[in-house]
Amino acid sequence: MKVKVRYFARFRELAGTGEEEIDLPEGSKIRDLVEKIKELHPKFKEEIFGEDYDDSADVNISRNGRYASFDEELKDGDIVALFPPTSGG
Amino acid sequence: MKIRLFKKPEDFDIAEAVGLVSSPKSGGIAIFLGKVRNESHGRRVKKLIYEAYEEMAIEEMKRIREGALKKFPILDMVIWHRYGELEVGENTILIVAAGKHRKEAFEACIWAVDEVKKRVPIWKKEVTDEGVFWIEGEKAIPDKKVH
Repeated sequence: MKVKVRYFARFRELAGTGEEEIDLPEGSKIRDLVEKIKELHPKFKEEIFGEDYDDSADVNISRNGRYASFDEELKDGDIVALFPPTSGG
Repeated sequence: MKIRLFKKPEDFDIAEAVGLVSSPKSGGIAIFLGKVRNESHGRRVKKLIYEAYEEMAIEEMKRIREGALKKFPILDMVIWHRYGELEVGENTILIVAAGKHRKEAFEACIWAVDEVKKRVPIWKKEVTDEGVFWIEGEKAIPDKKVH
C-alpha cells in the first residue's frame, strides 16, 4: 500500500522535501512508517529519533488531519504528517 | 467564518470578528489579539515567519472552538490565525469569546490561546539579530539554511 507523507517546518528541511509517497506492507503501523523514514532520511535518525525507537522524541504525527499514535494502523491512501512541536499564537 | 487562517497580506477585521459572536444575550466579549514582539529570549526580533499545515490547522482550531463551547458557559467564539512573514507589531492571532458575563469570556479566551499554541500545526521561525531560529514549543533551534 502507499501512504502520502508530509513534512513541515524544520522536518521539511531534514527530509529535503515537503511531501513524498512511501510504499509499505499491508498492516503496517505508524511506527513501521517511522522506521522507513529513518532509513530514507538518515537525518531523522541522527537528529530526531536516535538509533532506537524513542517515544519521547519531540515529534508530532498526524494521520488524515488528526494527531495519531505510533500504534495506529495505516491504510492505503492515508496522509501522514510529521512535524515538530508547534509554535503558533 | 468563525475559524479561519489569513495569509499575509490578509489581516483581521476585529469589528467583523466581534460581530460574528455578538448577540443580544452577550454581556461580555473578551478579545485576545497576539502581536509580533521585538524581543525574544534577549534577542532582537526582526520578523517571524509563520507556516501552517493549513487543512489540519483549520480542523484543530474547530476542535478547540468546540472544546471551549463545551468547557465554558460561553455563547460563541472566533479563532483566527495569520501566517506568512509577519513584521514587528503585526497581528498574529485573534481569539474572541462572547459570554453572558465577563468571567467565562476571559477564561475561555485564555484557555483557547493556550490550546492553539499547544495543538494547532503552525510554526514560527524567528529572524533575529543573532540569526534565524525555528521555534518548537519552548525550544529555539538554529536554522541551518542560509537566509
